[in-house]
Amino acid sequence: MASAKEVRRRIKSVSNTKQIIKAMELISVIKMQKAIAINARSRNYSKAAEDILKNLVINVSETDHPFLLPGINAKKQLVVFITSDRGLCGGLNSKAIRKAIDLSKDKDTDFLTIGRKGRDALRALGKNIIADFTKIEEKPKFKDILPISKIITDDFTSGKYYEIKLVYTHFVSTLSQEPIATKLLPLENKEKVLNQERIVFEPEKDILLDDLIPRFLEIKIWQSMLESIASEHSARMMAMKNASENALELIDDLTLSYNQTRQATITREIAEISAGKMTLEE
Amino acid sequence: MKKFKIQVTTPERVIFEEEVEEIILPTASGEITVLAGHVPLIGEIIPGEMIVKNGKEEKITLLLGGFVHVEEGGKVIVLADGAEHLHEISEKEAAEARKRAERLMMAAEDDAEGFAKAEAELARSLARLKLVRKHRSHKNIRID
Repeated sequence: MASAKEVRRRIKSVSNTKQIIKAMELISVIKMQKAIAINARSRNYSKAAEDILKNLVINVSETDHPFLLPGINAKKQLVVFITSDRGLCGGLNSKAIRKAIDLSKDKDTDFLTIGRKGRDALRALGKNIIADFTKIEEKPKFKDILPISKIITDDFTSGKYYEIKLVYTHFVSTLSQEPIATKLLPLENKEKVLNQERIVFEPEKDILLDDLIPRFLEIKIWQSMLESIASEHSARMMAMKNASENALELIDDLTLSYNQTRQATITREIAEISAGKMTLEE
Repeated sequence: MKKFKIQVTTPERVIFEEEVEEIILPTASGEITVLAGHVPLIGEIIPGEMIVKNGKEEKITLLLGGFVHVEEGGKVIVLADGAEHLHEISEKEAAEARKRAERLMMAAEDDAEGFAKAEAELARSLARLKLVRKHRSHKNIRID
């Protein structure tokens, strides 16, 4: 058994760590609340945008815009991959990384990474990263999205990729976050064209599509980023909460073992003293 | 008059969501007026004023561009890049913003993308300025 002094030192070290963890937890709580509020406010807008896009896509034909047609000659796909810049957030990033790798299995895939963790993991695996954006998550601004969507739309129009996908972490609740993979381009036109004649476009269809599709892609990426950020802070808060509970448990265990060691020493000393006394009396 | 539902939303907030009789929106080819039972429409909005009418009451909001969707059932959704209520706009600030945008445009003349951005900025500040000047003296309008 370790000496009492050593156990005492370990208790102190764990308590110090616990304080740091507690501080990180409190910071995460504040950041999480902020991120969730921003995310919730923006969800409504994105939902409306998605509805419009859906409605638009079923009312135009595939040949109306290059973004509606899959790239025929392209052999590669592009995955836009959103992770966090920092770790210590439980299994959040590793789950997302697994999802992204699943997507690229048996397919010639390029990646565009947003966030350091995903970039580092993919680089370690020797994947091809065409562009990398980091340090967005601290203060996300809509204009940070513009270069990303420009790369995506330019590369898709030039026929480099047949499909562009997006992997991000969806914020379900503080306790649950889920990695999601969706398709960004081409826009799917699964449902039958029903009322193509009836819907009015203002301005004409071609001009409208040119303006609207890139804009809605931006909104989608933006919303995914907000979701990922809210997920990151919630996951970190939960991780820190668990860590601080574990630290408390560890301190309890160590205190118990410290008391046991101390008691054992006292008992031994008393035994020695009484034994010595008995020898003297004889 | 028959009423229909509208929802005006920006990335930051839902500006309003209510039942109205008439809504006038600025588009590239002029204003469009939507009444109940309008045909389905998807359109682009340019910076300008949106007027929402309910009986005699008019509400004016500045939209900084965006899109409008008149749904099959008659519900209208306005997705605005940004929206400002009339009372939030100060004329002085609007005029300064316009000057800034003009300067930006001069500086960015050689670079097409920068120029387009500056031009959009100018359109927004002009719309703002126009709106404030137009409605400054009106007293019977409920400003929201």
